[in-house]
Amino acid sequence: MNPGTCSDRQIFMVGLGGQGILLLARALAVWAATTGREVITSETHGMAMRGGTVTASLKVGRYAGPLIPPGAADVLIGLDEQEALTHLPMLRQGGISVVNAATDTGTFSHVVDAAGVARSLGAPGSINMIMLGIAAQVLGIDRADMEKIVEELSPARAKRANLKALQAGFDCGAQ
Amino acid sequence: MSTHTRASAATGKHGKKAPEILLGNEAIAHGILAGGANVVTSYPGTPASEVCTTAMSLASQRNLPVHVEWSINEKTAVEVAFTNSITGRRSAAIMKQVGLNVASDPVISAAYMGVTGGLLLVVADDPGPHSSQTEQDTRLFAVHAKVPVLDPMSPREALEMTMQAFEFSERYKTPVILRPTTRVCHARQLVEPPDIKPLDRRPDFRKDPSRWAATPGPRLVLHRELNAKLREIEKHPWARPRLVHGSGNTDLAVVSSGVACAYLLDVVAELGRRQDLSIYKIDMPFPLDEHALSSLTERHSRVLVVEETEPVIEMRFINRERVSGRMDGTVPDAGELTPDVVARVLEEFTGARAPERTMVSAKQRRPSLCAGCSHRAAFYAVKRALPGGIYASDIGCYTLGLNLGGVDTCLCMGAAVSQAAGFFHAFKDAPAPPPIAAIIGDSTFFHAGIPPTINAMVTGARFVLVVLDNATTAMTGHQPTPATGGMTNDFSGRTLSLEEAIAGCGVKTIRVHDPYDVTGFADVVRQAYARTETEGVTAVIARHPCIRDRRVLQAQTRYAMRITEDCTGCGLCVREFECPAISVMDKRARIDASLCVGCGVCVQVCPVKAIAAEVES
Repeated sequence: MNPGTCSDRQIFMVGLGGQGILLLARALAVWAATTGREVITSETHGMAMRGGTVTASLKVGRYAGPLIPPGAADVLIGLDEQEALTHLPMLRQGGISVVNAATDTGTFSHVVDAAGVARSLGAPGSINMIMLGIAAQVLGIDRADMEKIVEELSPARAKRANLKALQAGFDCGAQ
Repeated sequence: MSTHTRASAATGKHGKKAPEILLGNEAIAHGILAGGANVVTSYPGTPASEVCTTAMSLASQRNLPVHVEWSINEKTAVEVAFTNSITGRRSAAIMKQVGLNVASDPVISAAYMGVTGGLLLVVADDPGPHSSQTEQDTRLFAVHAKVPVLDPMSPREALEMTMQAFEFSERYKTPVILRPTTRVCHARQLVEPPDIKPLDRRPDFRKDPSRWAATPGPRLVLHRELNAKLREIEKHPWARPRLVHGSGNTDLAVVSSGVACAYLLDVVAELGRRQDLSIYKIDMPFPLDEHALSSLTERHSRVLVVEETEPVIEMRFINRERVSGRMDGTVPDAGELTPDVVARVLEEFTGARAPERTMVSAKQRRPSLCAGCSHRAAFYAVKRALPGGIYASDIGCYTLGLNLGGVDTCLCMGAAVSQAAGFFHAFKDAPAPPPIAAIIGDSTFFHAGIPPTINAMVTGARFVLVVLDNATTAMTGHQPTPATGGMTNDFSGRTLSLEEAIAGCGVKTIRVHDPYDVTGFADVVRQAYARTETEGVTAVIARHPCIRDRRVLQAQTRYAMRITEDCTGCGLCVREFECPAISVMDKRARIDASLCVGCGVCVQVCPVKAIAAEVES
């Protein structure tokens, strides 16, 4: 995603409440804003955050509304395999899907066992940052830029763990 | 609270602040403080909660001479804010749409009285609904209350309108409502945060009983005055349709407001229909310049109205022959207007074909009480203590107790208590009346549970009042309660415990127990129920802090959980206890270690003692 030449882009994110999808969405939004283009996002708050389906949308470019219509997302980032499957129709034809799943069934364009990586880091709650690293790599986002953004957005106590998970994501990205 | 990360490449020009990516609610909070509010009040409720959270943290971080409070409920919030505004100072009261129902009494009266200092009511609507009991339209309420209402379509527009609302309010001496919807509140956009310069205004209360203490006679005078104000406001540019797309000379036109207008602009751009359609936005759906609106049917051969959730603009067309919208069924009469719905509606209206869409299945994962949540333990214990009972419950995280059969009713804030009384009176002469419990959260009890508890006590109702005390307003993002303190930006004020409040309602038996001890808690509920025979209402406080606070989890014993060979796969732990960490597969329970927080409560639930717990070091 070269800021100078990039066309408008819509990124749809889905997972379960508690997985930290909002921080992932926010980091990508902040990154998109540094490219000098318009950014509008949408988040799920409230009751769904208690383990229910949580979605987030990021639209970069000349958009007025925050929601992505079905079949229009350029990229789908799935923190949960089942939820990614349910929301796959959000993706446009030829769109890219980056999904956390234990095994690659050939449904998605990029599959990474982020939960497994998180377990090996001893931080099962860090799937969001691992997936951010993977997605950032797929999207061609500069590693140092994203590290800086995550550092700024993370609360003090989570800074180190988030950076570590992000780096693990970058390391195993683009499979 | 949140860090507002700067977009380094998108630096502002001419010394203006660099744009920041702000949540709609954060943008509104910036606008309230930059608009010069001296008093900000709110009761938390999705999708409005982050407005006051942000205002409170900005006020304390920057040490602003502003009073920001989490009020006990929306009625109180409005009354405190309104009163500051009749001393010439500026105020904002923030709530969700159903909170406006609670505050309706002072709001409707305040419209008659007017204000001398700006008064902004931020009322967030929730079409969908995503986190609410109803899809009610605050714009329609505004018509009923005779209060001007602004309908922003984006965080950026919400910020602009908020800033201007105070001067508008003072110019016309009326309260003003800003009505963002969920998709504005919880959207993020690049905005330029305004400078926050608190307004230095001395309070000036000019006694005028015929206004501020008006009896019915002078109220008639005030009503006429209000009508005259509204006629004046109709001349404001906000009251007229604003062309936001197209030439204004097209055959077809769309009139819209709020976020639906943003979707329209996106859909039209996507369909490539840039020339043959005019789109108008209404910034202020009430009061509206009816003639300017109706003249659109003379300029265009057909007009479509797209608005959420009720036909507030549509019904104002003097002649609706050329008008389509909700009233003729072109727009669905319930549910959120998402981009795909807007695209379908536009397709039907224009006869063009919208791009083929595969619909996303509406199958959403249902939310659930967190693993380790003490509410689950309390619900399970109440079911055991009062089998066959009726469990009247209320609004909060604990509404999710319905997943495990612990919630039979949920009407509105505080209704657990009055519904328990209602069930008592319904069943008292029936053969074998069921035991009745009112199950309500701590913040909800303070909000609206106190009057019905007094009412039940003095009208002879008999039931157990179970107050789920997790020491926070958890569902909306952990706001304080009167019992925890910290209700203001300067931490002034004392605290009031639940025990004090319940005792003040006249309840004699008040027991406090940690529901993690399921057996003990069930005993306490049983004993308390037995005493209702002589005492009417008895109370049990289920006290265990919310485990979403990681300090709470760190402070409590953590168990390593294991399913033993004795498991028969009966599924009671899933059916009756419903912990998200437990599932049954192949006739055997499993515990998902990544979800389990090691609370150990499930040990007490298993009928064959097949769940083992060892203290983790």
